[in-house]
Amino acid sequence: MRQALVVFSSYHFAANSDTLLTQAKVKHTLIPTPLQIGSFCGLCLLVDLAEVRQILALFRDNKISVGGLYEQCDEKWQRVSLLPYIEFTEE
Amino acid sequence: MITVDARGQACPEPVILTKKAMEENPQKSLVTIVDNIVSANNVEKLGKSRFYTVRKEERDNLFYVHLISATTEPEVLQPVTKSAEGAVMETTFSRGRILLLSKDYLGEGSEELGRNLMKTFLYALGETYTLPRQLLLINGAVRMTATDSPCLPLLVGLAEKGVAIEICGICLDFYGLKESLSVGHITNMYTIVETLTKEEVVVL
Repeated sequence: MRQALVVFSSYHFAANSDTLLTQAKVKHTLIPTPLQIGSFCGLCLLVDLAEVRQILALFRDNKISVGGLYEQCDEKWQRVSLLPYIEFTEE
Repeated sequence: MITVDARGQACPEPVILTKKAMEENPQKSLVTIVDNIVSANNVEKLGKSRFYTVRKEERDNLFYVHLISATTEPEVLQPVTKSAEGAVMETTFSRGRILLLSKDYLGEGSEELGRNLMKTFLYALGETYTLPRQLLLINGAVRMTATDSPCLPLLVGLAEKGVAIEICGICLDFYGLKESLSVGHITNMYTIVETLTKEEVVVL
């Protein structure tokens, strides 16, 4: 199962996202941001790649700002665009 | 062979009786008979901490814990190997390193922050190649063993990697978690005191 990392610009976004996904019963793990990625806020979420679209939609609805998305390639984390995972809705 | 009959004795009495028999009969092998698994496990731990070779058997609803006196120093824990990025790396068990956790959050200040720090601490601990030998959970830390705790899968992961998770039985009773325990082993205050006074412990 492929995994992804969601990083945040502040502790509060990371903590709120952890609470939100727990309440929504979405599988995730709050982990320290891997050194390879950089510090950001120091916390990030390890999630299933297959669930990123649903997770980002939840974050959007709950006004949680995401700092970036990483996918694991050859044992390393590689930053990827958020665009393929965002659902655009007509206002 | 010295026989310690601790049938019908509540914990920690079997441990106390066994300990007394050990001290009165140095270099001799013993067998302690108990009627419950928790006492058997605690006597087993006592034996191992004192470098006896331990063999446990169950017969007719009784547990016989054979403690064979050691004449030589115990073997140092053998490191297990773990493959990472094509290289074989060693996982080192710091033989003397035990982490004592007394609450379910890390540090002082905001408990909310501390709970998130604890989750990330346990995750990072599982990722390191230098695993602790034992996590000793007392008081509020035992809440991390609750089935709805986000820390439970992390503790299970550490246990699967060979880290002994020892949990205070009094504390599990207090928090009403004894019956639902799904990770680690129940320990008692005598074993905890012995650990804290004999081993290298890091208090968190």
